[in-house]
Parts: sequence; C-alpha cells; structure tokens
Amino acid sequence: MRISLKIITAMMLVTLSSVILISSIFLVSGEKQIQDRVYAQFDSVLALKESSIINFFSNNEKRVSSLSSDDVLLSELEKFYVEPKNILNVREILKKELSEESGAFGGFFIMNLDGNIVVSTNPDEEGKIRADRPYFINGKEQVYTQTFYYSTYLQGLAATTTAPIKNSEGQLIGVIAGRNNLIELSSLMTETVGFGESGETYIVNKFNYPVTGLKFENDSVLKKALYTEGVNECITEKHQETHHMEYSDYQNTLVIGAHKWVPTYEFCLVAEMNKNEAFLPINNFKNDIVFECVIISIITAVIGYFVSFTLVKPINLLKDYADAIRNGQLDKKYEVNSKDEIEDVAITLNKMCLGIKDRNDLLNTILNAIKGKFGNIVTILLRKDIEELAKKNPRITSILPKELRASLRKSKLAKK
Amino acid sequence: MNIKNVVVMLSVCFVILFLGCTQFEQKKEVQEINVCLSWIHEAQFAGLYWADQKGYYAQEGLKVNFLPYNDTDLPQDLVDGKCDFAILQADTLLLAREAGLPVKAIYTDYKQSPIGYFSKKSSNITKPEDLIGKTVGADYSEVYALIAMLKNKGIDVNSVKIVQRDYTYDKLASGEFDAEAGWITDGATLKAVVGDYNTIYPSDYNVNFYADVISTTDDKISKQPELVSAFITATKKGWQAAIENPDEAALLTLGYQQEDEKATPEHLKFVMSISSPFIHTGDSPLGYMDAVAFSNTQKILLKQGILKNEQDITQIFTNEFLAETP
Repeated sequence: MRISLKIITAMMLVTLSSVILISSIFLVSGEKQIQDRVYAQFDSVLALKESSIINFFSNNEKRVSSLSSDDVLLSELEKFYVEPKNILNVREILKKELSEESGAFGGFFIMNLDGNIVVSTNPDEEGKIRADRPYFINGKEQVYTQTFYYSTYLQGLAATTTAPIKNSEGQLIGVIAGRNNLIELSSLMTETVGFGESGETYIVNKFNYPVTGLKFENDSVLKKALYTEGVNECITEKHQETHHMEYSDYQNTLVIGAHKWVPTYEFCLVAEMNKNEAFLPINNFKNDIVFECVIISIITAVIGYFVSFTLVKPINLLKDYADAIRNGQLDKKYEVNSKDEIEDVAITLNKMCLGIKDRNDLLNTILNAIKGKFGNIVTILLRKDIEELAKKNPRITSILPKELRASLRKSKLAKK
Repeated sequence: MNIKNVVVMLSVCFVILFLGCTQFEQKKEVQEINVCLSWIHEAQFAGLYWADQKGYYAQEGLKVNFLPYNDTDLPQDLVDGKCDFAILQADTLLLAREAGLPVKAIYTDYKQSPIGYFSKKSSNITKPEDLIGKTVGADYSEVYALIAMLKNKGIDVNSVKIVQRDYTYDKLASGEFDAEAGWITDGATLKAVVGDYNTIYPSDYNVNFYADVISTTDDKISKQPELVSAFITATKKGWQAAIENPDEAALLTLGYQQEDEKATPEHLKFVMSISSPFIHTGDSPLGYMDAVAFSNTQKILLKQGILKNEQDITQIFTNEFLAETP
C-alpha cells in the first residue's frame, strides 16, 4: 500500500471512529432521555386521566347519593308510593336534576324494592324490571357504579351509578340510578396532547375489550378483543402504578406503551405511541450522523491527500536522486527544503554523491594512467577480477603497476 | 471428502427431514365430529362457521359436520352419540337433565335472551300490560318466558290468550295474533311480512334465558376433555373474529345453506348485527355462563311446573373449557 493511501486511511479511521464513538454516546443517552421523557409524559397523562375518570365517577356517585337523600324527592316519592298519580312530581324533580347536571348524566330512574323502574326521566323505561342487574343488587346496599357494560335498552355502552333511597326512619324504599354520560368520558380519553399523531389513550375492561374508541379501528368498543402484551399484562398483573413496556399494539405496530390498573372501577388505562414516531428525533440524529460521516470522510480524504503529498514529495525526490546515482549522474545536487529528517537525508546523499564522484575521478585517473602503459592488458584487467587473474597466473603481478600490486597485497593480507 | 459427496449427503438429509415432517403431519390425526344445530343454517351460528371456514377447527385437529335441526330430541341425540356437541336452549337442557340425560352446557352463544314478542306498530303494544286480553302466538321456551314475564309484572296469565305459533308470522300479519313470539333474528322476515313492528323483550322484565347453549355429555367431558377443549377453543376464537367482522361472518352462512334455502345477504347481515350485543355483552368473556342465570331459569320453570324437581345447577354447566383466551 502506498504511503499516501496509508496516511489517508489512517486519518479517516481515526476521525470516523472518534465521530462514531461520540455519536454513539450521544445516541444512547439521547434514546434514554427520549424514552424517559415519553414515559414521564405517559405517567403524567395516565395520572391525569385516571384522576379525571375517578373524579367523573366519584362526582356522579356524590350527585346520585345526594339525590337519594334529597328531602323534596323523598317526600314526593313517599306520596307517589301512596298515590301513583304523584309520579309527575317525582319525574319533574328528576328531570330538573338532570338539566342541572350539565351533561354528567343521560337520565335518572328510580326502582322499587322489586327492581321495577317506577319513575324515570324517560317514561318509556318505566315498568321495566332490573332486579337481576348488578347496579340494582349492589345499589340496595351502598352507592355503586356498574362500569362499562352493553345495555340492550340503550343499545350501546353504559355505566350506571346507583344509591339506596331510605326514608326518614332509615328503611330502604327504593334505589335511585343515574346513567353516566359516557360521551364526556370518551372525549376525555381522545385528548392526547403531546403524543404525536400515533399517540392514543384508551380504556380496556377486565375482559380485554376496549370501552372507549380506538384511534385506528372503527366500531371497536366492546367488539375487538385486545390481547396485546401490554393489555394482557395490565389485566393479569393489575399494576396500580404506571407500568411501561414495548410491544406490538392492536395494529401489530411496535409501540412504547404504559398501562395502569384502576381497581375501584376495574379497568385498565392504556397509553401508546408508535415507537418510530417517539424516537423520530433520534432517528433524525442517526441520519445526520451518517451524513456527517460522509462529509467528514471527504474532508479527511482531501486533507489526508495534501498531508501525504507534503510528506511523499521529498521522498519521491530522494528516490529520483537515488535512481540518478545508480545511473552514474553524480553531478546533480538535489534541493530538499522540508526542514526535517528527509532534508537531512538529502544533504547526506549530496555529500555521499560528492565522495563517490571524487573517488571515481581518482579511479579514472589511475585507469587512464594504466591504459597508457599497458594498453590491452588494462582492458583484460578491467574485464576480469585482478585477484582472479593473479591467482591463475602469479607471475603477472610482477608486471602490474606499483599501486595495483600494493592493493593486491593488502587484499591478500586482509583475507589471511 | 469432495463436493459431490457433500451434495449427496445433504440431499439424503433433506429427504429424511422432509419425510420426517410429512410423517409428523400425518400423525396429527384429524377427528371428525358432528355438531347438531338448534335451527337450520343461519347467521346465528356465524362464529362456528368462521371457525370452520377459517381453519380454526382444522388447527385443533377437527373436521366438523354441522347437522341442521331436523325436529329430533337433541339431548337424546347427544346421549346416543349421533351428535358430539349439540346446541340447546337453557330450558331444554334443564328438562333433559331432569329426565336423567347426562348432558351439560360448555359454552353459551347468546348471553341475553334473543326472544322477543312482536306486534304491529299500529297496535301500540309496547309493554306486558298491553298484552292483557290479547292473543299471543308462542312456542316452547317462548311460552315459559312469556308467562314468567307476565307474572313478574303481576299480570294474570289467564288474561292473555297464548296459542301455538307456526313461525311464519302470517297470523300476526292477518291480525289473528295480536303479538307473536320469535327471535330478534327474525327482524327482516317480520318487516317483510308484518311491516313496522314493536318488540317486548322478556330480558327487560327480569326473564333471561341463555340461548344456543353448546352442550355435550358428561361422558365426553370426563373421557375426552382434550376434544371438548379443542372444539371450544376454536369456537370461541371463531365467535371473537365473527364479532369483529360481522358482515363477512354473516355471509359465511351461505356456504352451508342449500340452494332452495339461501337467505339474502341483507338478512344474514341483519341477523349478525342484531345478535352481536346479545352474544357479547361486554360484562363477561365470550361463552361464559353464570350460575345465577341458570338458577333464575330453573326457578321460572319450577314455578310454572314445567320442571318438577330442582336440579343441581353446578351439574348443568361448566366454564372449565373457557379458560384459554383466543
């Protein structure tokens, strides 16, 4: 591999690994921060919604409870039990209460001890028997809310709050019921501020059915069974603190979700957000990093090229110098101004060249002198090694010039 | 070892593996079972059709033959082995049990009674009191539910003339009947024959019979629990899918109806849409049965003298095969 390529590669490796290392640290901490932020948002949203829902039902329970002990209602109800035509007065009280409740209820009705609806804000309902309904059975004892069931009468989802009606002597004389207006609850759940486009919150009953609408599935209330990992865990584990996890939602999309079991009313609050959307800033950051790496690579390659060029240029000059020496061009003087070791090498080479030239000149002088005295022998001597010649024909040494004989002698002595 | 040898060895391994898998598949024996329906092929069985046509039964190793109702004694057919599973009504089950037939409910399709008492809109019959002095056509459990409803409202049963109906609604249309019992699923027929109509639901008057209850024998439950579990698991899964896809499920019925009895798609879709809330009430898992409901049915039958002896409710039904979720 050429030195320039080595330099460029090394520079790119060092730069990119530094960028990747630093980016990875940022990515990991960024992901954690985003996850923490989303989870914190889930926590606060679920806590807010839980409190709103509990307030919704508990306020309605207070209203129904208060109505059950309303003196005017009690008085008119007792009169009605004696004189049925007094039903109009009782109905009027219930209707007046309904209008004052500003949409918290869809209707009120009163059941006698047999579960017969004796008075209702909706007269069509009067005469029907609800003796087997949990809200009647439990409502005889205490304030009670039966949450999220299908009402064949309403032909839709219902939640009914009941309270016992007792006369002045404390005797149970009936059960009053208020049908909770679930539209208000649904609109409460559809508010998902800060959850992006994919974020949603919904309520699931203990049988895995949604009781508020799903954002991405029409007509799902009490129809589509949700057996996602999140819902299953919520129903089986019944975490009363918000629990977070990643799983595939009802659309089979990977989401980060949170759930919380609300024991009082036995339902599960779920918040979910598409993971891709939640981690969009991080994904964008990843794309930025890839882009930055490409740019940094190009810049590093360019810088590397110039750096290597600076380093390699005098080396190439030295190479040319060496080639020239090999070819016998000892007259040239090479100028290297790198102010470093390479310049030192060039200076030394220049000196070496001068030395070789001097010796060469001397040899040429001697050779010319020999040429003049011995003619063809010199040619022979030049062709063959003097030592070899002397070994084969020792007598020849006597005819050699004095300098050559001395040199041969020195060589023999050195070998000994 | 050269490449040729390696290829030969791999081929041999592949063939052995393939044959092994085929053998394994063949070992999973398909069991053929008969399911006797409580009625002709109708969308009220859509969950079972879904389980059949979408391969849920096959996944459980079952091949199901659906036998439409043929005016036979279904509990007796169960005991005689003509049906592995039969769809009964709650009162039929209680009466069969009293008769000493060891049959038991393992899943209920309808948790809310689909029985209704229909009348012409113009007759203005909207509550049980309006039936006083009127003629009502009804049959079997419709009669029991009607009497129970009247009694719950404190109405003298003798003040209502209850007569046998013929399931056509012609007599209601002609005015011979003031009201006629039927299933809510008959809505399209009623509309066509009678026109606009009112419905009195007995479930609004504390009378609720489970309907289309899947039953089998005690013997099958004790000796072949895996078979019962497989059938119920697939059926429940089929019902869940049918509720989520009501129109598609309803139309599956056409695949079972004979050419001369093919219903219109509108009728089938109506049956499914009106049935869904009665099948899936949202307050318990699909198919789940409650002792109180059976107990109330038993009380009604005892009061009317239909049932002579009180039955042990715990022997009437079991939810043990509903444990697994779809």
